[in-house]
Amino acid sequence: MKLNQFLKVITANNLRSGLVTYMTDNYEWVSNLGDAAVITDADLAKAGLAFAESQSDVVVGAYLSDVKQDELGLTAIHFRDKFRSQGPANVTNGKQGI
Amino acid sequence: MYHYSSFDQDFVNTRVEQFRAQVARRLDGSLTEDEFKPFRLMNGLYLQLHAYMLRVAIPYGTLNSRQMTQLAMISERWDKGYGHFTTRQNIQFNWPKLEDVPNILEALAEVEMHAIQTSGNTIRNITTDHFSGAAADEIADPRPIAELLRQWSTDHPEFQFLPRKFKIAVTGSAAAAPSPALMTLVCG
Repeated sequence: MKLNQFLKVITANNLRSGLVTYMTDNYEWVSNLGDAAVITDADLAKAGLAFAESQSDVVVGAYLSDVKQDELGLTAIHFRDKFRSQGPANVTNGKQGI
Repeated sequence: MYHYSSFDQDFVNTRVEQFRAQVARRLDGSLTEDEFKPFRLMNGLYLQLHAYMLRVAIPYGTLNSRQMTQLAMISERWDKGYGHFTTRQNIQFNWPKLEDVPNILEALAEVEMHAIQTSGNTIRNITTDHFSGAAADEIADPRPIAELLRQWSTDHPEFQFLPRKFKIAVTGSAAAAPSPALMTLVCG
């Protein structure tokens, strides 16, 4: 993977629950980063973000998040986004829950 | 322990209903997030990385059994069965849903508690040593002064939109003086 490759997802928080959410290819919102639409084009990213921001009755604080894609799947690059995608380290709560 | 006057109770009850209406307007799209954000922060509600977080003030670090039971009920009914006590005499609920928060605030008001000015750029909840009134080296009980400051600063129009938050602690004991790292102003 080239480091400067354009690879992003759109993420936000759900307005009602506050939980982390990602936009899919179908413009739906899901909780799992692995199900997010991977955007490889700046114009598509701009349009997708504009759509997300128009959904202010569904999500809050939409933004583009850098990701990488390899044999392990989709992974956030920045620490903050990794933290958001994985949920709290407390295994009895959040996405890492057992 | 300070008990609400009828004025206090009316004030807190009114604030709950104001916030209930603000949440309803946010959910029905009448308010944008930018318009709603100052309202939720005035009522202790953050939107953090993983979820909403509601910070509830525990005046002077003391709770009676009725209040503690109500906090437990809130955590079980509207959160995940726990809360986090903080260094500045609050408890934080980390998973409330937005539409439940007015009900949580109503439940808090029933036991003389609230989340007003526990967040945002305002004068935060006034704190004291939680052993106030019982500490052996105490030269004066700081709680009456702390309570006067609380009443003076709560909803004070000059201090609702400060450039940054402002934290006050009052202590009557050198041994119990709070860390300056946690406070803006320590009165002794």
